[in-house]
This record gives sequence, C-alpha cells and structure tokens, in this order.
Amino acid sequence: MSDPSNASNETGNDSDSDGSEPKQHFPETQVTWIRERLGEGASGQSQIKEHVMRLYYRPLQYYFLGLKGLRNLGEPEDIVGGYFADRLSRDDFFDKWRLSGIKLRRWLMNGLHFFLKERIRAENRNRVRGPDVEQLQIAIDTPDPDEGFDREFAHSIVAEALQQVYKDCLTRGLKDHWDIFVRHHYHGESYKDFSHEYNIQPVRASVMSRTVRDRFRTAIRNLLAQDGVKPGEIESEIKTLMESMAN
Amino acid sequence: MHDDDNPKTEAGDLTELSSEVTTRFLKMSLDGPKKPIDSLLDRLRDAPEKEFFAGLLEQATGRTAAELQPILCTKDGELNDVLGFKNQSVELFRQYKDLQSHLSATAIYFSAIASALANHGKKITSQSNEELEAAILDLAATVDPPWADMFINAVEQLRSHG
Repeated sequence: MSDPSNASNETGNDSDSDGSEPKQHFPETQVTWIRERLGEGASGQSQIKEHVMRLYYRPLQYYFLGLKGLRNLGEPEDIVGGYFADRLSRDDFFDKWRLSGIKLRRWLMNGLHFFLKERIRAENRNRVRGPDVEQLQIAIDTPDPDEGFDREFAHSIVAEALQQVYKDCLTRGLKDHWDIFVRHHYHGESYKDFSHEYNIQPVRASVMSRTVRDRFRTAIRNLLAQDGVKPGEIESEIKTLMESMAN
Repeated sequence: MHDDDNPKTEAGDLTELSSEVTTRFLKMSLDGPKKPIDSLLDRLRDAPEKEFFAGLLEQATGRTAAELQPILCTKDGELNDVLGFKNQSVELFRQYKDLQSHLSATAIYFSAIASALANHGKKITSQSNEELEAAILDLAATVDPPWADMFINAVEQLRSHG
C-alpha cells in the first residue's frame, strides 16, 4: 500500500526512467477533468476538494466506523474532517493520485490508513491509552469496512448525480422534465396518473422523463470515470455497487 | 406547477436515499443488452446541432428535410412513400458502407415505421410492440419537433391499438 501523502509513492507511478512524461492510467474524460481543474490553480483545487467532500466524506466515515477497535481515536466526522483538512490541502495530493493508477476512493482509503497511523503514533507518544499500529492493520484487513464504504459510496454517487442533473435541468429550462422524472422514478407515480397536471399525454411525460434519465445515466458514468473507473469497466462497477446495497 | 400536497421533487429532498431507491437508480444507469438503435441514440445525444437527425434522413433518402416533413410527419404523406423509405433503409443496411450510412439507415428505418403508425395506423414491422415502443420513445427523447411529435404519436397509436 502506498501512502498518498508521501512524495514518492511505489504504486502506479509509471514515470519513465528516461524522465519522459509519466504514462496515464485513466480514461481521457477523467484525465481531462482533473487536468483542467488542476490547471486552474487554487479555484480548480477548490473544486476538486468540494467534489471529494461531497462524494467521499460520508463513505470514509462509514469506512472508519468499520475499522474495529479504533473508535476511541475520535468521532468519524472529526477523523475524516481532520484527514481531509490535512491531506487535501497538499498541493500535490491529486497530482500523485492521477499518476497512481488506482481509483480515487482507494487512494483516499489508503491515505486515511496512513493518517490513522500517524494519529496512533502521536497519541502513543503523548502516552494516551489507545490502539496500536498492529491493531490498525488487523482492522484494515477485515472485509467489513470496504463493504460499508461501497454502500455509502453508492448512495453518494446517486445523490450527487441527481443534484447535478437537477441543476442542469433548471439551467436548461427543463424543470417540468425533472419533476416528471422524480415523480415517476423516485415516488413511483404512474405517468397516466399525473401527466394531466402538466397538460400532456402520458406518452409525452414518459419521453420527458427519458430525457432526464439519459442525463442521469451520463452523470453517473462521468462520476465513476472521475473516480478512475475505466470506460470498459463502468458497467461492472455499477453492478458491484448494486451488489453492495444488498449486503 | 406544484402545491404543497404534491410530492417533493427538489434535488435537496433526494439526498437521503434508501437502499432500494439507490439500487433502482443504479440499475437505471446500466446499459443493458446492446440494441441496433443504440449507436444512433448515442450519436444523437452527443450531437450539439439540432439538424443532425434531419441530416441523417436527408442522407438516407436524397430528399431535403422540408420535403420529408410533410411525408413523414403529417397525415398528408402517402403510405407508399413511407414504405419506400423503409425498403430503402433495408437496402442501406445490406450495403453497409460506413457508420454514418448505418446511422442514416437506422434513422430512416425507425422514422418510416413510426410515421406509418402515427399517420396511417399501420404497423409495418414484425418487431414486438415492447421493443418498438422502447426504441421510439428513446428517439422521441433525443430529437426535436416535428420529429419528436411524430414519434410520440406513433407510441400513442401503438398503445391504443395494442
């Protein structure tokens, strides 16, 4: 496991020995998005941080909750908040992730491990009675935390995609499209039961809903690409997230 | 549109999702089995220009969009012309030159089928109603009027005649 906070990490940094540009691991859409944001300086960094906070803050809290024997290190929100405050403020944090070849969520989990290790060592130095580093490793090696993380990540990514599509619909003057989509797909109403409220036939309501559905699908796929999922693996990734919901 | 009795539809109301809802939305994001119309739909969703669909129809038939609209989108068109377009599309599929010509063939194929339904009440394909409805609804969601209206009318006909 590599520490995302270290200047030189072992995993995935494919910088060629001749000093040429490092190889890219991620799909172009994701690389483009990250590159563009990183190239925008402070405002771009800030956008990436907001993105990470929205999508990964809660999953990481659940992940921490699943690490048995470490609860006395602190409350999950304080731990993850402290971790983000420390690591996300580092200028090269996302640059190094981009070169790592691993998914962002895995990179963030690895980073949390190292952050916790530092916390444990600091507390031991201060003679505070707490877990030791070996206990952390045992906790990491149990499968439970990953399951909790995936489940929360699935919730986060769907909620984020819905937020994005909602904003997009408002911007494009498609508020009725959005309402119809939510009433059918979220509240479970039949088109024929409510389409008259919009003075349209049920078929037109289903077409309007489909327009939003297409945008939602694109949003989910873009979010997974931004996490580092390769285009050919997005379908199986969605299935994996669905399976995590059944656990 | 909504009063307080209507369901909440603001995105802010949808942040706390149950497992069942999240699973449903994830399932919606799956591609499912690849269908012949998918490459056309993908291209239409990516196309920024509104005239792209009409351009495909023009390419397939050799007629302008202005000439095609009365034939395909109104009851004034002749069913024989519509059938002719469908046969033309089958020939284009058979010849397969490149992706662009394949997209054109797909566009005129479904337009002809939808037009026959919408304007003449005739189903000129052996495809199941379920398959056909899904394809036409997807098309309606990706193109602009008058083509979208013609597709919607086709689905209404399909549903009313079973």
